[in-house]
Amino acid sequence: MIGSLAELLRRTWRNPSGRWGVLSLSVLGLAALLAPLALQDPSAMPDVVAGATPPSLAHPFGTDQLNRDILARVASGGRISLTVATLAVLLSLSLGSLVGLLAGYAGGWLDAVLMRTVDAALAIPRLFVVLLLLIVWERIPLAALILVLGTTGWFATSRLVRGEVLRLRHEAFVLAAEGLGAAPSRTVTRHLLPNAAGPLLVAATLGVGDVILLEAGLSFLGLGIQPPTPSWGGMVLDARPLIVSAPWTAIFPGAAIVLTVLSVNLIGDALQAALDPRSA
Amino acid sequence: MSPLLEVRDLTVRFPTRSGKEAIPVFQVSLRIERGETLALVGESGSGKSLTGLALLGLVPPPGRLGEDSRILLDGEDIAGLQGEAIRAVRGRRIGIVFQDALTSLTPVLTVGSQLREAITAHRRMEAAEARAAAITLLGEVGLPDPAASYGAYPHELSGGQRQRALIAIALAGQPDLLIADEATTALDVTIQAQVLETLDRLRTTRGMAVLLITHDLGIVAGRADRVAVMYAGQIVEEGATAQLFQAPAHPYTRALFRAIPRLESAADQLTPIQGSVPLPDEWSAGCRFQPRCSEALPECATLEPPVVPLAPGVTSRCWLPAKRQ
Amino acid sequence: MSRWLLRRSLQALVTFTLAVLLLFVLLRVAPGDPLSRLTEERAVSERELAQLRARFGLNQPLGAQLRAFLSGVTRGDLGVSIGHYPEPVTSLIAARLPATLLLGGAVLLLNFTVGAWLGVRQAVRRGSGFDRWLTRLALAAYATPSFWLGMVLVAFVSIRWHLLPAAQMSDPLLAADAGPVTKGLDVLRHLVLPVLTLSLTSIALPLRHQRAAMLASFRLDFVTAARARGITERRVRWRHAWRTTLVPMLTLLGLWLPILVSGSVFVEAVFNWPGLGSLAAEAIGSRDYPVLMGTAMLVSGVVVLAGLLTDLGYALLDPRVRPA
Repeated sequence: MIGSLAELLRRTWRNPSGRWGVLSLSVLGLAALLAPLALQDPSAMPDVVAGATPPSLAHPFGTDQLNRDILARVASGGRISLTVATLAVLLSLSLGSLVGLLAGYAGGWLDAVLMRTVDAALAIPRLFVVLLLLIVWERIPLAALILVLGTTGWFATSRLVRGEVLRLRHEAFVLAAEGLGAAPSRTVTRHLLPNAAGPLLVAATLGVGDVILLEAGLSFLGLGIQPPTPSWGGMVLDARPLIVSAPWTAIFPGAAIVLTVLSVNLIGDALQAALDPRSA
Repeated sequence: MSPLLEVRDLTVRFPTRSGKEAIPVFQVSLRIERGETLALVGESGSGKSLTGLALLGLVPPPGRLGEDSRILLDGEDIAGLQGEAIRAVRGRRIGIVFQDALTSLTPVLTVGSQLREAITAHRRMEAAEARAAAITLLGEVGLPDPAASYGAYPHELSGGQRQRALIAIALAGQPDLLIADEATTALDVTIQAQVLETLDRLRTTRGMAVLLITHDLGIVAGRADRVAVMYAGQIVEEGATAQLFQAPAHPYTRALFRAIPRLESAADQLTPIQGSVPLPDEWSAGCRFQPRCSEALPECATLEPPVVPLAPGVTSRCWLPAKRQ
Repeated sequence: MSRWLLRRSLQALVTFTLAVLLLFVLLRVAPGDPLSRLTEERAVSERELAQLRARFGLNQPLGAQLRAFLSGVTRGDLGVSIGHYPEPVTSLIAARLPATLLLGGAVLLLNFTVGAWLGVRQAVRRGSGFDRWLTRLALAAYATPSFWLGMVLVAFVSIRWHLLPAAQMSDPLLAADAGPVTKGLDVLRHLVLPVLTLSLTSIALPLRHQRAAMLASFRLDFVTAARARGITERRVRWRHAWRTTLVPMLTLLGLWLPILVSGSVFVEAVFNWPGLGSLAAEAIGSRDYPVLMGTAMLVSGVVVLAGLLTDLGYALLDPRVRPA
C-alpha cells in the first residue's frame, strides 16, 4: 500500500499542473504559518482616522478601513480558512467512510435504509442545510462551524466507500468460490484501504476547495468566521463599500481565495489523472 | 492498362512512449487490377487491418505514413492526401466494410439515416429519392425486409442483418474497390457463408475489385484471384491463389496450411505454429519469422531476406529460394 | 415504458418524502427558540406570543408537530414567515420565483450552449494553445468566489464605466407605463452582470465534461467508420461524435437543473436580485426558519424531479436504453 501511494504522489508531481498546485499551495501555506512571526499583529489597534491606505513598502497589500495591515490579515485569514477546511473535510471523510463501511459490510435492510437516506440527503442543497443549522447561534463558535461543515459533506464519500466494499466483496467471493482466495471478509479488509485510498484522497482534496469557497461565502454573509478574527470572506464583505475608492481592500483577499482554491483543485485533478490516466 | 490500385512501399509508423518508433506496416507493396479480388491473409497483429485503413487515410493518430509510401489509385497518388481530396476517395472510389457492425454503426442513428447519408455524400439527391435508393440498396444486399431495416436502429438487427447493412453503406458511393476487413469473421459459419455469397454476387454485378482482408484461408479459396500473405508488418509471399494453395513457397505460408485441421487426415493433433506473433517492438533483425521458422537458415537470423520472384506474379520474402539454386 | 415510469416516479416520491422528513428533523434538532427573534423585532404581548406558539405548533409534542407539518406540506401550506410576518411562505416563494427562474435559466442556457460548443472545439483542437489556456482560465474562474467576482464586475462595469446597472432586476425610475419591450430590455440589461458572474464561475464543469466526452467519442469505432464513408468532417463531428456525448451531458444538465430554483444565494445577495436566493439570504438576518425550510423543500423537490427527468431523457436520447 505504501508503494502505490508513493507512486500516486510521484505521478502527481510529474504532472505539470499538479506540480504547480503543490508548489503554490506550499508557498501559501508557509506564508500563512509564518505570518504572525514577521508581520504586524492583525488585531492591532484599529485606526479609523487613517483609514484605508494603498499598498506601500510598510504595507505591501495596503491597509483596510481600520488601517490594519491587509497582508497580515490575509495570511491569518488563510491559516484559519485552511484549518477550518481541512478539519471539516477530515470529519466528512471519517463520517462518510464509517457509514459506507457499515452499509457495505452489513448489507440487507441496514444498507438499504442508509443509502436511501443518503440519496434523500443529497437531494437537499448543502448551503440551505448549513444556513438552517448555523442561524441557531448569534455568534457562531469556530468549532460549531467546523462541525456543521463536516457533517454536511460526507454523503458522497459514503457512497464511494460502500461501492469499494461491495466491489472487493464480489471479487473476493468469486476468488473464494474458485478456491483461490482466503476467507472473503479478510481479503476485503486487507485490500480495502489501498484500493479506496486513491479516490478518497481525490475527494478530500477537491472537498477542501469546496469548503474554502463555502466558508468564504458564509463569512461574507456574516455566518462564517466571526470578526474580529480575520477571514477572507469577511474581508471581502468589509471591502464592499470601499471597492471603488480602495480596490486593494477587496482584490487581495479575493486573489488569496482564488489562488488557494485553484492550487487545491489542480492537485486534486492531478491526483485523479494519476489514478486513471484515461480521464485526462 | 494500369492497375486500379498499386501500393508501393507502404509503411506506417507510430511514435511510442519510450521514444523508439513502432512500425506495424513495413514496405508493403500490392497490386489490384480492376475487378480482381486480392486476399490479404495474416494472423491478428500482422498489420493487415492497418494496411486497409492506410489506403483510406484513416491511420489513427499519432500514426503516420512513411515518406516513401505510394498509394496509386488509377495512377494517382493518394497517400498523404488531406481534407476534401481524401474525402472524395472515401466511399466513392474505395469503400470499406469492417468486422464488427455493432461498433461500426452509430448507435443513436437509424440504419436508414446512416445509409442515406452515405449515398448523398457523393451524389446530389432529393430526400425522397435518397430514401428510395437506400431501401433498394438494402434489398440488394439481401435484407428480407428492407423498409423495416431502414427504420431500425443498429442494435435492433441481428448480426447477419447488421453486416449486410454495413455492406450496403460501403457500396453507397459505388466504389471501384471494396475493402472487406474481416467482414464476416464475427458471424456464425452459416451466416458467414451467406454473406460471402452476397458479396460475391455484388462484386460480379458491379465489377468491383475486392481487397479481402482475413485470417481465414478457407474463405480465400475459390474467391480470391490472388493472395498476399502478411506477417509482422511485411508481405512474405504473394501469388495466384491456385498456385499458392498447391505449392506455398514461404515457410510461414506452409506452416499456416499445416495448421489448418483437415477432415481426411488421420492425425489427432493440431500442428499450430510454435510461438506467437511478435509485437512491433519485438521484431528481430533479419527475417521476422525466423524465431518460429522450422526451416530457418543461419543467415535468416541476421540478414533481411530479399523479395524473390519465383514465377510471374509470384514472390516470396525468404532466403530459401536462393539457397536452393 | 409506462410501468417503468410509474416505478421510477414512486422512487422519486419516496426520496422526496425522506428529504422532507430529514429537514423536519433538522429543524427540531437545532436548539434555540425560533420565535425569540420575532419577539425581539417587535413588541409582542404575552397573548400574541401564546397564539404564535400555537400557530407554529411549538407547544405540541413532536409527533403532533410532525403530523401537522406533513399535512401542511401536502396541502401546500409551508407555514408563515417570521421575518415577513404574517405573510405565508408559499406566497413569498411564489413572488420571488420568477426572478430566480430567469437568472437560473439564463445561466443554464449560456453554460450548456457556449460551454458545450467551446468544449467540442477544445476536443477537436486538443493540445493546442486554445485548449490549454481555456482550461486554465476556466479552472481559475471556478476557483473564484462568485460574490467577489460580482463585486469586482459591479465596481468596474457599473460604477466606473457606467455600462450596466449595479443591482436589482429593473430600474425603479422607469415609468410604469413604459412598453413591454422597454421593460424587457431593462430587465435584460440588469440580467447581464449576475448571469455573467454565475456563469463564469461555473462554466468549467460543462466545458470539461463536454471535452472529455468528445475525446472519448472520437476514439469509438463508429466515428472512424463514419469517416470512411466520405461524409464531411463536420458531419462526423456533430452528427456522429457529438450526438453520442448527449447522454453524459444530460447527466450534468440534470444535476444543474435545480439552479433554476436555487439561483445562487451569494450572487443574488450581491446584486440584490429579487429571487429565492436573496430571500434565503434575507432569512438569515431574521432567523426565518419557515422561509429557509420552504425554499430548501422546493429545491429538494426540483432535484428529485430533475433526476427523474434525466432518466427519462436517457431513454429518449439513447435508443438502446429504452425499456421495452
